[in-house]
Amino acid sequence: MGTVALILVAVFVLLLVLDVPIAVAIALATFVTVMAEGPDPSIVVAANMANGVNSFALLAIPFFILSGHLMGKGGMASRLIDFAATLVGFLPGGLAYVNTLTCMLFGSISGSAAAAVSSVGGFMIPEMNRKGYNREFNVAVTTTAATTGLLIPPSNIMIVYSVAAGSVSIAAMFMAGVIPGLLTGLFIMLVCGAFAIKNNYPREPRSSFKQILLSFKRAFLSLFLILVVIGGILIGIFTATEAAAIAVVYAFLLSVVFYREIKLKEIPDLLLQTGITTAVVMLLIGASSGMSWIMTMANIPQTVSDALLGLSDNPIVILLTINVLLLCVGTFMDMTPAVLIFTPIFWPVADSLGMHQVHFGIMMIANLCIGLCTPPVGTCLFIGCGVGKTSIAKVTKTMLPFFAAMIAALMVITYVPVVSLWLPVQTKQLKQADVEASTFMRSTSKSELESTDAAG
Amino acid sequence: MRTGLIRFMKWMTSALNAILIIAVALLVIDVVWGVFTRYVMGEQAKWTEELARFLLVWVTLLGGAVAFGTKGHLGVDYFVGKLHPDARKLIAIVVHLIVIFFAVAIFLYGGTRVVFDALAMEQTTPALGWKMGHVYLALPIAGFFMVLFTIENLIESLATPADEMHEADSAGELD
Amino acid sequence: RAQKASASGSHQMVLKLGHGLDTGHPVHKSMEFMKRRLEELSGGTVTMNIYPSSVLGSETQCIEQLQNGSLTMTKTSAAAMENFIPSMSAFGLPYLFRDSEHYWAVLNGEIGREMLSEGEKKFLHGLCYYDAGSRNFYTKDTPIHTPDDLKGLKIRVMSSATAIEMVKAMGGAPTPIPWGELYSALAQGTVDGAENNLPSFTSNKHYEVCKHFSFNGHTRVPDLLLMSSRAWDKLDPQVQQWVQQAADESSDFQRKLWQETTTESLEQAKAEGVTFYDVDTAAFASKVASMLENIEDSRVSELVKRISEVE
Ligand code: NA
Ligand code: NA
Repeated sequence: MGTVALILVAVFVLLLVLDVPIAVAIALATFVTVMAEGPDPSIVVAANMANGVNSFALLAIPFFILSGHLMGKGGMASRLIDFAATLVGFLPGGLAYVNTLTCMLFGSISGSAAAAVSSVGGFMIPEMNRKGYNREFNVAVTTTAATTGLLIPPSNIMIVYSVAAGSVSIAAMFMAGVIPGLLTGLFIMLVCGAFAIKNNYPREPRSSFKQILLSFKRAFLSLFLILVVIGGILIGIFTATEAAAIAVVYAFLLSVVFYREIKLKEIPDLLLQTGITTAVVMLLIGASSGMSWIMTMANIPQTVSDALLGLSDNPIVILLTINVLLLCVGTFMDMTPAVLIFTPIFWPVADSLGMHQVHFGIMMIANLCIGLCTPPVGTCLFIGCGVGKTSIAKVTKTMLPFFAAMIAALMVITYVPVVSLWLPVQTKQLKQADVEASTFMRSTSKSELESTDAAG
Repeated sequence: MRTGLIRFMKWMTSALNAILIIAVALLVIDVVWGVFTRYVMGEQAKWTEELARFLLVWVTLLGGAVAFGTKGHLGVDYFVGKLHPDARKLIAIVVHLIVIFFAVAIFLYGGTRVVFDALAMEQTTPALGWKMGHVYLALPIAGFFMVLFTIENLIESLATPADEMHEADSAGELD
Repeated sequence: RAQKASASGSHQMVLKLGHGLDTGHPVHKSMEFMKRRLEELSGGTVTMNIYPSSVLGSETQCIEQLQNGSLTMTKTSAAAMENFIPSMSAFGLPYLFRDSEHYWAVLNGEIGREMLSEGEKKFLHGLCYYDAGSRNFYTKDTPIHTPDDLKGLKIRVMSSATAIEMVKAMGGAPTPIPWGELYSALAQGTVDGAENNLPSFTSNKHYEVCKHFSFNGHTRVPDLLLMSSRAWDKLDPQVQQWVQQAADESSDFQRKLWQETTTESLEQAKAEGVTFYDVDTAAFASKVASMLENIEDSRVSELVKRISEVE
């Protein structure tokens, strides 16, 4: 058992360091390990490549990618920014709040943070530069705020988690992410406030009620998509995958027919980009399905779980250890492979601590969101620096207070289960009895739990 | 000869791209049709769910091959980026060879075995009644294109001087 | 590996079994019983590793793994076997069995043994059957007393051609939805009802949403315990005999456990406020009678005829 794990990790790390595509590294590490175990490795890995993605739930991913493309190009970002500006622009450092709020709104429409950084950042960063905001600050706000879109539904990474964890309801995950996403956004705004006061950033003119209504009217059709997707799932008109397909149709009608900001002849290229982006993610999922098979066969998750549980009797310490490990993983690894590889490894630990599977997923995603913004490997950071025309080295110092805010939010999400679990129970996406059966942090911090419950 | 090869590669790539575009469009239409039949015709078409899953398998495998051509796959270029250009060039060539091994051993050989096994076992699909072996056919086809595209990348890497090689910033749009 | 290195060469043999049920399910408990019995019979030289909850893949994927030799054993519903062995579709036909006695008389008799070896050519060696009870309709708002009550109701079914045809013939609108999404689909009204056995209804807490359960018993689809023929053929006859005996004993064990679980489930659901209805099953059976009469596959129609003749 020990040798099997060793072969797997050694081959995987070696290939990763050589900059072999991660999907290939996972597949070949699995290949070598299966060979050591006995069965024909070619067949095992090939079959998993196809069967691992043969899932209706995963179909929502290409749909949300496509609707994100359509919305991003279809003039939605500018409408949302105008709307957010009338709401929070009058505060000191108003544009920083506008930026954060737009990222959250955009995130709740598209399933991807990268799309939010490039679409919202493309407008907001130059504008903020012009108004005298510090360039690195502008990049830092956009980069971190964009990750809230992965907690606020819809969210592709939640679909990946649902599949990696077994059969977790996607609709329940979506609902569970809402409050943690808003909370993270709020913490980021607090940091913005501190910067604004320290640097005496300007205010925007206060909007009249009429102006607010007008900008809302312009943004309404974009915001209506939230209602279509989330409302459609909640009322039970369709499943998450179907909602995603409907979102594509809606975004198509809006951007091509109604706003006319995308021409019909641009559509094939959008479809191709969607197909390739989807394939990059799905190939990872297929490869991970094989790796998870051989890890299970060799009882690796159980071994890791026993080791972690042997560290301490205190659930707080064990969860802290998992969070620190995930933060380290996040600095180097992209979110999708991290979720796929570490969900089967860490879930048995969280399970034996009485954690709910939905709560664990939200914690893991909130954690890995931080990794998207940290050097050396961070998708959002790369795009943010590209859009904002600055370097990773320059922006990193300015990011530190924002990391602190995200880590603070992560701690609340980790140790206060109701933050994640309250909404899915209220919207009937989780069974009350199931949530009550998850005992994590219930005996240790009952008062805290009750106070949040009352606040929620 | 050389230009003929280039033209052949171009033709293959656009054919593969066209298949991918059609498959993604079909995916949307198929799932929307499922919702439509349920609400407007009162009874969900029984094949839409299954067809959608198979289309996703094909999009994944063929699109995965295209992404090898466009160098779109996620990697960790941090460590290699710190090395001397000569070492980087050597490693890039080694990586291409590793990818070719991956495509041959898993997709071409393994995929072909999976196809023949499923055909020999006469495995069928529940709703459409298709032969499962035909669905798995995407594996060896994708493998063929992966080898083709990676050989093209390999030739390009060999031809490029070490200090002109750049690492593509591969940003996955999912996150 | 220490075990392989032992000088005598008599290292412990491990049979790997993957299935899709959770560890509280009667079938899983019976597999653990089989593991204990196998260890006792073999004096500790043969054991099993059981991987529950689909960690090694779905039912279909596990069957494929048996065929290509990467997994030793699996449990599968006869419904999932249809896609590999078409004659298995006989077991999915509505009102094929008259009652529980008839069902077990068939499974433990000549036809049952024949069906276990039906997959031999396809590397699937059948060991024994497990009881999966009878499947019944349950609904949210309106109770089902007669087939007419199904009219216009969206009923969740497995994505199996037979199940879809059956619900349609009875007048309902069959809606295939993944099992994992069913609770919220019921809660939100995407479907009006579903059909399953009583223990599944209870253990998945569908009683929280569906308060009407009709004992119409449309199908009894057995579970099968399968072993890869590639693995089976390599065992020496003594080990084969131990494995078969342990499997047979686990089947008897499971049948009793299933009865107990069904009774407990009934009590629990009643306590949760579910109303149970005894209905005239003949009315339902007459709606689907043509499904038993017009069968294209000659092997299936032969099986249906022989099953009806079993006392
Ligand atoms: Na989102
Ligand atoms: Na990072």
